Amino acid sequence: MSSRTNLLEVEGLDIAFGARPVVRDVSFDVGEQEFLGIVGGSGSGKSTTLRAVLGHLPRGARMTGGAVRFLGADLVRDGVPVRAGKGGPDPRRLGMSVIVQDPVGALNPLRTIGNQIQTLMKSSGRQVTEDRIADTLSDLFINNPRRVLKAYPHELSGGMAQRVLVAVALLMEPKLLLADEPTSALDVTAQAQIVELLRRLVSEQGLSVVMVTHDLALVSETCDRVVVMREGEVVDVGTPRAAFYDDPRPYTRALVDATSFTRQETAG
Amino acid sequence: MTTDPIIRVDHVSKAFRTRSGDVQALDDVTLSVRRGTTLAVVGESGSGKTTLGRCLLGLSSWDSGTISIGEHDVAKLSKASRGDFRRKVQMVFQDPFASLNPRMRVGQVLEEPLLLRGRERGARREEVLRCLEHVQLDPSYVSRYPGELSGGQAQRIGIARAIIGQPEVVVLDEPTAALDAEVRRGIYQLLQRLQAELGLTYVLISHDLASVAATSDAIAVMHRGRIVEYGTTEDVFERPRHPYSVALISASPRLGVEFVGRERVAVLRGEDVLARADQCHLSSRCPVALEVCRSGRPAFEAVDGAHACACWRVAEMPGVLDAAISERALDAGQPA
Repeated sequence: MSSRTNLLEVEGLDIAFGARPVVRDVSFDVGEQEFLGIVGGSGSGKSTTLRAVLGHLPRGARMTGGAVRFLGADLVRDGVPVRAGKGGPDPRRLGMSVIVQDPVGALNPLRTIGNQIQTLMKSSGRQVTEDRIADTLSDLFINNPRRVLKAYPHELSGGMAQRVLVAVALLMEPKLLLADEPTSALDVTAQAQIVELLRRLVSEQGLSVVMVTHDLALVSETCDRVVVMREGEVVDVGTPRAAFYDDPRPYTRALVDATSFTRQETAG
Repeated sequence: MTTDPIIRVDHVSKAFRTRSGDVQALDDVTLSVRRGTTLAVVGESGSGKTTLGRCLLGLSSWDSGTISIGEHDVAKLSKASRGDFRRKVQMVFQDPFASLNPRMRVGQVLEEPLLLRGRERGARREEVLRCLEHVQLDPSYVSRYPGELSGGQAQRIGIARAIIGQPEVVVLDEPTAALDAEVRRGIYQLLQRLQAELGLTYVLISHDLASVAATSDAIAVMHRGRIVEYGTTEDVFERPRHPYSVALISASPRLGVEFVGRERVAVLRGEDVLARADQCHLSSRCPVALEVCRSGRPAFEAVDGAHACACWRVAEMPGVLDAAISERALDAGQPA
């Protein structure tokens, strides 16, 4: 592990909503070709941490300390996310893409999928042919990509819309993909497809992924390492096996027990 | 416990008419639930499971077939029997906050069904307190508003509201889907205890087969309005015969199964295309579909005892499917 290079480093991150600290002293790093999970209950600060990495904290929240470095460049200066300029993409974050929980809500309902993808590509200074877009979609197990490009968001199922968003993220040629509960709005079979896809992108294309989720079982099957958060603090960092079974902290133990009840037949 | 079914659904069909044609929400659904047991109805969004729940409650009409609960024919409730039916068949909703009036205190929420039945004030109060005890909440909760409750507490109130009229059947529509993992366990334990104490019959609607396996006696797997597999929980969960059941079980992530060193692959890929009535609806994305699957509707036939399945290749299951999946896993495991 000593030879690994870090893509992303989060060090001593503090975030507050007004005077109330919501993330305290959070540190973790993400190596190349690594699938990292961040788990915790509601209010554990896991999504806020991810948004801080993206430089899009919710209104009212600010960083009160710590550092975020991506490919060696500082993304935070004096507690303020570094941005290039108004509206424009931040060159330091060009290697980052994001997918969100509600894929249908993330798309403009009034415009076709193809039109939205083209606009997004242009706004980030990229020229992408329709063939390239269609190829990317079919790599994601979309049977009829041309038809999807002509469709409006409401005509797609949740799983299909999420695959479209993964395609958009990939067309940006990222090194790091940030995923905030990417499957919690989806059916289990759609979830299985998305997870298989992300996993393949890591093993075959060398992508790194940070996935925020409340689902421990999903993390245990998918992630190389996991960060367990509780009430804004990191409780544990390690492989899922170590964090959940071999050497669990009391809080993680409680989470595992709560999850195992409904899965007892499967856990066997 | 008697063995005769309290719920009987007999060849029920229902279509929603849309601009692009009819969508068969329920397609010749037949099932029964014995008194005091739990039937889990499992399927993805669009499978018709919620529509079935609404029909059981008499909240939706259907096109053909019959549904009876106890002595009531749900489609032909007289004015006189409607009140009795409403008391006997209750529902717990997925989102406890959306199903509780935010302007009513917990006490008022729970009292309302009793008011409708014209109970005296003292008796009402007594029953509300007894009911809170049933769901393991302190009596002081009567004066709280839903907004002051946590998700788990609010769902306990949702359950209390359902059982206060002493129902016989409770339809549970994804009762823990909106809750954190930490509180799910408590809700399921509570539901199981109430079932044992009050002799309740549950219909548990869920999209996650693995999560209902611990709490149900029988499972009906629905896909595109049809029941594709039915059996005891052990039958369906340990020996699934339909590719869709296999897909649902394997799709749901398991704690303790680590990904590293073992590429897991999705059983179903792509999307359902709206199939014709004379096809197997899964044929567009089933890894072992043959020509016959696209040209005829598979019969729903007994496999073994009560275990039944609607698949053209049922005799070859699960071997032929296992082979297809491991081939795909091997393919995915190849280094790039």
